[in-house]
Amino acid sequence: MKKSIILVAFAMVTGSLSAQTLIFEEKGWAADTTLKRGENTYTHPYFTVYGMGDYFINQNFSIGGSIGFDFGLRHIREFGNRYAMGGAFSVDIASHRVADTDLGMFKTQDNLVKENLELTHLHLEYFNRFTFGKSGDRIGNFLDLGIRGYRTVGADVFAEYDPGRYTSTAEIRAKNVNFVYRWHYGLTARLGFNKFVVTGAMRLSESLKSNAPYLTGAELPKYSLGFQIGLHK
Amino acid sequence: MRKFSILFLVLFLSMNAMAQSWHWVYFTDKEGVSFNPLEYFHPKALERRAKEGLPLDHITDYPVSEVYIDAVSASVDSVSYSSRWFNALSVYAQPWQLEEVSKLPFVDRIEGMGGLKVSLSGMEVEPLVEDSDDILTHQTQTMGADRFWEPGIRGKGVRIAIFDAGFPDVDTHPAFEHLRENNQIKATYDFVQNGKKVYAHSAHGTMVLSCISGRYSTGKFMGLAQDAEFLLARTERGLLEPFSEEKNWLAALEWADKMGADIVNSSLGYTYHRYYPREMDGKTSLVSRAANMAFSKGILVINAAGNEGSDDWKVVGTPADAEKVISVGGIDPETHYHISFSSYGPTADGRMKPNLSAYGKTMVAKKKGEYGIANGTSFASPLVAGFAACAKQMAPNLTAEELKSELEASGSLFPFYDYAHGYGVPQSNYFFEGLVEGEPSFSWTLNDETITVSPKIITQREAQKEERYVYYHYENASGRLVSYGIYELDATGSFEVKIPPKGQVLRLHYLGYTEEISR
Repeated sequence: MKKSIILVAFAMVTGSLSAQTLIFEEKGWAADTTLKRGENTYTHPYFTVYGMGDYFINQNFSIGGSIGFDFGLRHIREFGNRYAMGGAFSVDIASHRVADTDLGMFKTQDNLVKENLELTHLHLEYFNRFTFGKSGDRIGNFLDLGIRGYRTVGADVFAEYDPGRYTSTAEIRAKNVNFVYRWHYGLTARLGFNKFVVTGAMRLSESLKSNAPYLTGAELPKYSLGFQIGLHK
Repeated sequence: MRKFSILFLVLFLSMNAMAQSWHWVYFTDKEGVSFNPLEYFHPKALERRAKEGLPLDHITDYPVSEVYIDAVSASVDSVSYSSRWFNALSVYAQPWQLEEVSKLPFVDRIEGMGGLKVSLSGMEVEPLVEDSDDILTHQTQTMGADRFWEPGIRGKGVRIAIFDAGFPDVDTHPAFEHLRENNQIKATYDFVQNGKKVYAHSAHGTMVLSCISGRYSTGKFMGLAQDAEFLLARTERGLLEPFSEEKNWLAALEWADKMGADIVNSSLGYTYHRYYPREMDGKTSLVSRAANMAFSKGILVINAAGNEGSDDWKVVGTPADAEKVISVGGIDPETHYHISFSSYGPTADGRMKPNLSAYGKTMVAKKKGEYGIANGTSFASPLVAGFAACAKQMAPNLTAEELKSELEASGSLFPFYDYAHGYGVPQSNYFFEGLVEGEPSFSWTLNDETITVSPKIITQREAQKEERYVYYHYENASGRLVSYGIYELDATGSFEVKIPPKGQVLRLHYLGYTEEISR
């Protein structure tokens, strides 16, 4: 019993000894060695969802709506407060909904449910960035004006049929169709508010070859408008 | 063709934006320039020079040669400010034009001005809350304001210049009625738009001024220097951040010198984009060199330490890094020690910064006749500027060097210091009683590996929060702190700290008493 009392007393004393609280602690000079320059070059990934409106392409078929996803990496170098320049590389997957007329080549069956032209591009972009407003330690507000070139690495036509009458095959995918140009170029513009960005693009090159009579004068939408999230703070 | 025109335009825009930029052209001499200090300087500036023992016509006060300015102007796109102190001209030029200018025989060197990004050291403004009155009372009383005010020391005769982004409603806000009635605002200048109208734009300057000389609606003082005179300079554009702010800051400092300022409050700082933290050495940036130059002319610059304490940058910006500047960190009204966002020292060359601290959360006067609670070292800095004005009124013959030393010695922690608080919060008592050595407030015993510190106990009921703090730091042989911190004492007991390694010194500070322990 006596030992227990001594132990309890000891515990109380040591308890009070350690009761003082370290409420603030900092390292001195050593902390500074890990610091780097404020960012005047930086790289960040981004993700874009964009759409293209209806676009009449020729008398045979039209595009009934398009959506695309773009995932890329952007590198920026600032030259002062107001101006920066940069480059970006991205993978872009776009799906164009084809709405054929009666003469359309794509419309091979009368029970066609939907038909998409699915394109995969690799983009390379150069842009000028004009920044405005305060940014603090963030990218801040900006207007980007750029040019881009891109290579179409995948061009598939995907068709889906009503399986009611054709139970054996409901979907058909024609890979790497030959009527799509592979190299393209165009202009880009972005209005950004730190990580939230409104994007626009205009294609200046032709998109579809006229290697079949029904493709004469045909074009995919030239303009796109999208929303982008920069994956950075 | 049209497509290529658009592409060409995009490329042209980018090349054009890169090619032209602002530079400083430094001249070798001031050959053939005449200068009459009695015409140029305000009598207050002459008086200051006399007190400092400075010549009235130092070569750095002479204007830049008009002949040189004309010659450079003929070779560049445009010229802007010419600095007497640095014998330099700011120019906007293409690289090939600079090449031409560099060949002129009287051109010493050319330096890029850089795209400095300013950081106003104030953060969000909150509406008044329940404890706003407590904050208002303590933002001045933690410095012992009453001790100054009771004998009527309120900064009379001391001229304070404030550099900021705008002062809207200072001409109408009730908080500044006394300044208007007594004609205490002696001059204004907008260095951004080259005019005298400063009562517009960002309200940051309005809030800063209120922390020196504002009055709350109840009549309670928001800052210490109610009777000081003011020079208000707009140097920052606010939302836009052009390349010219460094130039504006220098121009405002030369103007403040001319107009007879004793003290400058600058609640802004330059950090990332153009600088590495290792360049925060007080010598690299032009604004730091300018602040040191002002000091040599008897002007004490008081600058906010910055709000990057919890960011990657972390350390004080510039000109808070300048040796002769009093850099002011923020303390939290709730905890009474370092407020999380306040930037830390030391400078890149190992000097202690900040020098002093004050409340980093204060009541301020806002636009439209309103009041609010603002966070930022922007507001700690003017509290100390107001304090400095009172100290200067008490001892008007102090030189800038002496005033700086006295202010530091008045710090609540002095001679103890650390890189979060500097010498602590300045105390008015010092200017009445001098430095009072604190009674020994703790004892210590050496163990095998630790030191047991036994502080004098003040009961929880008696003690103010800050009276329960034991500050410590470990300083290495080269005078830099290795680590530092604060223990909060409970009602009873001792605590243990590690024995300083060989070559290091442990200092403990408690209740005004500092003791040094080493092997």
